[in-house]
Amino acid sequence: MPFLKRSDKAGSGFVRIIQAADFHGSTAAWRKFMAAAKQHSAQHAIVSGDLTGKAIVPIIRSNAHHEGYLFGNKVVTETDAELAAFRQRIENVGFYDYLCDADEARALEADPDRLHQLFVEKMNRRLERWLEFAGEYLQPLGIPLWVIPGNDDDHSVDPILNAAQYARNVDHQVVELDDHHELVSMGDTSMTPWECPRDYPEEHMVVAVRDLVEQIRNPAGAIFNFHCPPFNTKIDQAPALTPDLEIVHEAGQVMMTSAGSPAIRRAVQEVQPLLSLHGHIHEARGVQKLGRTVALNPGSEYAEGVMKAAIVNLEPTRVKGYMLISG
Amino acid sequence: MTATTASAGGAAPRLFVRKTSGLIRTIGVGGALVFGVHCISLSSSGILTFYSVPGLWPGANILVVLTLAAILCAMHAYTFSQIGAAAPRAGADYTLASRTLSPWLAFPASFALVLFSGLVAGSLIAWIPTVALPALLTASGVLYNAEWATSLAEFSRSQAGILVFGTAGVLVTLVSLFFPTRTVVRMMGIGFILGLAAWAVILFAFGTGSEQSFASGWNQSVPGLPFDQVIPQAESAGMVLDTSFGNTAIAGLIMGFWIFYGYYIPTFFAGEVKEAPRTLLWGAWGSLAVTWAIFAGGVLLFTRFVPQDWMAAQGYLFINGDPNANPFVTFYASVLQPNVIFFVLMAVGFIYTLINLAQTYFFYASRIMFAWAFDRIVPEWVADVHPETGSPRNAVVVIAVLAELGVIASAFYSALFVQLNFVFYAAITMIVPITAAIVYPYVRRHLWEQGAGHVKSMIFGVPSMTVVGIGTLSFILLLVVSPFIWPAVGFGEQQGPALLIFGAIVVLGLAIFAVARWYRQREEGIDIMATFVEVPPA
Repeated sequence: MPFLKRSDKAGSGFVRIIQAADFHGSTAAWRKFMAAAKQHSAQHAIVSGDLTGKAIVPIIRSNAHHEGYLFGNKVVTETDAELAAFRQRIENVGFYDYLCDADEARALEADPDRLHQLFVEKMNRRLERWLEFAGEYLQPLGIPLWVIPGNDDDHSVDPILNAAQYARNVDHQVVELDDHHELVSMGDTSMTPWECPRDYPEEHMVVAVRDLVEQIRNPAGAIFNFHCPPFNTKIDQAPALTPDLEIVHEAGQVMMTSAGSPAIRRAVQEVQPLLSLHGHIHEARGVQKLGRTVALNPGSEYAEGVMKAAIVNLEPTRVKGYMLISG
Repeated sequence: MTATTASAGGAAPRLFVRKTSGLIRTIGVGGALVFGVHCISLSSSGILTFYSVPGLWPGANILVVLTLAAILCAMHAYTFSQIGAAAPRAGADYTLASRTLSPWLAFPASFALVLFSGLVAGSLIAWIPTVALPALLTASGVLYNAEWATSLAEFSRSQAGILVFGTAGVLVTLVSLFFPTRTVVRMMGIGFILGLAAWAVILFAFGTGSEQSFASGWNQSVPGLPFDQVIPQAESAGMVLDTSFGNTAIAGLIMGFWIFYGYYIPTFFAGEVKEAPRTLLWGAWGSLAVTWAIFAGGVLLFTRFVPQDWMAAQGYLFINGDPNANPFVTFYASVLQPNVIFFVLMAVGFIYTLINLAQTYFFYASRIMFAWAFDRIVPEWVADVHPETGSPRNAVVVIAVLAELGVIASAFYSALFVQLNFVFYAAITMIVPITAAIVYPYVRRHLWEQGAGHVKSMIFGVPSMTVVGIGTLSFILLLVVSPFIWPAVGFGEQQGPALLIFGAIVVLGLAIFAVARWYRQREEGIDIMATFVEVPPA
């Protein structure tokens, strides 16, 4: 896609980044993100957390066929090709499959530890494949890939991210993208009703954010890459939930509430970085200006196999332009 | 990590789910149904059923019209639920069309829809001074011999009255939307209850009424147009009753959109619902069924003792400017139950829900504007929300300006004229997203193949999106051509100016898109066309 009037001449300090979050195991979304990085001539690819999927679909072997349920719909496959297509569909929407018989599935259901282990194996194996593919695809293009986990990512993914040949895990780190821009990253989030692996009390968030902010050398060119969005913004609005995790709606409309981090909001307001990249709240796709800072959440529709991302054109001290894309 | 499972009874589990965020975010079908009923509006659609249908199609069987219209709308609802499910985000129709066809088509269509939604919101508000207030005041004036009430009713219906009360209504709607969204939604919830309460009064009045009580009550309330003289007077004014099935069928084909318009509005909020296919479809169909039942029930009860021809005559006389005509469902109920509590319940219920309906139009139009802002076609401030209340103040101010124009148009032409035009404009703008839905399974095949629920369903080996979409498109095309074939249901004498205005708006939409693209390229190094481009997996 040609961009007219692009001021990305060498030495101008121009840089184009592509950022996305909340892939949740969707291989279709991951591969589209890679393609988009190339298509939009990005110079850096940034992933803001929540890489792993949430569910395993048991595919039950039964005589001459296999059957499973996807989004409540029963799928019966008769041939190997149909089975492969079904498994691919499961992978594209971010789930994992598990071929087993009915007794095995029931046994797994009754054994949470074994099920947990199965999740770990499935998540890590797919993540390894993704990272390997990303290296093969992005390295020849010279596009660095900066990655952090998100609150839904089990701690077992950390060694996988750290061991990646090309992608770089920058969780809780400040790194230089170029002479003008530092990337300040963290996957921890404020507590959610689900108490996810990287949900933390606000006191933890205050300390963690402060520790990172203290390492920034040039706040005017800093880029925050926090999975959790700043509190009380357009990009942290999520449906309000009852204590039973039911959505709150009145007159047929969902009641929304802020689900971001006050500590991150304070940091954005005090440091006033150039750009603040987020994810976490899939529904809250959008842009919010906080002082001079442009805060972005590209949103997520991983379950539809749709990739959502943000393209940002940066100059040394200003966001020149941005665009939210999906495909 | 704690793992949890979901299984069905003693059968093998269907899904293993680990403990992660955001798994239980689902608006139930019930919620969508309530919202759909709200969007259809128990007030304005009730007025249309008892006044416009018989008045514009004298002799048509109202029950058959309602039923036929509901069936056609159900088909339209099916297509739009598929559109919402295929593009589950704000302004789904615009989003799907811009990605499947072209933003050069989708944006002008969406732009025209929003503009005319603002105008029609004003015309709906104008029904307060033209219908809701006069019905209350006239009945009160007769019952309590209060001349001031009768005078105020006459003023309310006048051009000045429409401008005064209509502008007040626009301002009330605007200010109400400055409150936190939670408060606005509660206001709408109250409106839903008031609307049902008003209809409970109407159905009670109709259920307990008789020909004798209605005729005597009518003669007392409207001495200038006695009950027995209504049909002869309408006939002498030119009304011709056409009881043929053809007349009824044509009315049913055309009236559906007028009566039931709104059932598909949750599509514009598709980004805020989960399980979009199920929620959008059953929410729309459910709201159609509920409102059909209420209106059909009202018609059945009322026509036990008042012939449909009499209703047609009332509507006909009103449309033709007879000052004694009162073809409004609330007025009929007031005649049967001259009770101040019932008056107030109906008046408050109808006025309140007309404001609610305008709020709904403001709401959905603002959501579509959000989608434009996300695509960087309009400035970001359009999608700004107030930091404390969360209200999209800038967007609603824009819609309020349009609504005021709708009030002015209603004062100088008529509220019905504006709405008739809206049917044409809304229908013509829908050609674009419906065409996008028809071709979506072929143009965006891999996305369609990943579609959930009925998005991917087939009819005789052809995607249902295509098959039903073609049916829906035929229905919409009929609505587009109907004002040309039957001028009474459209522009009347204003065909030329109406088409000119529509053309100008389309051109304006194209110009805005072109300027936005040029500006973003020049100033930001961003080509907004990139957001509409397919990204195939690497």
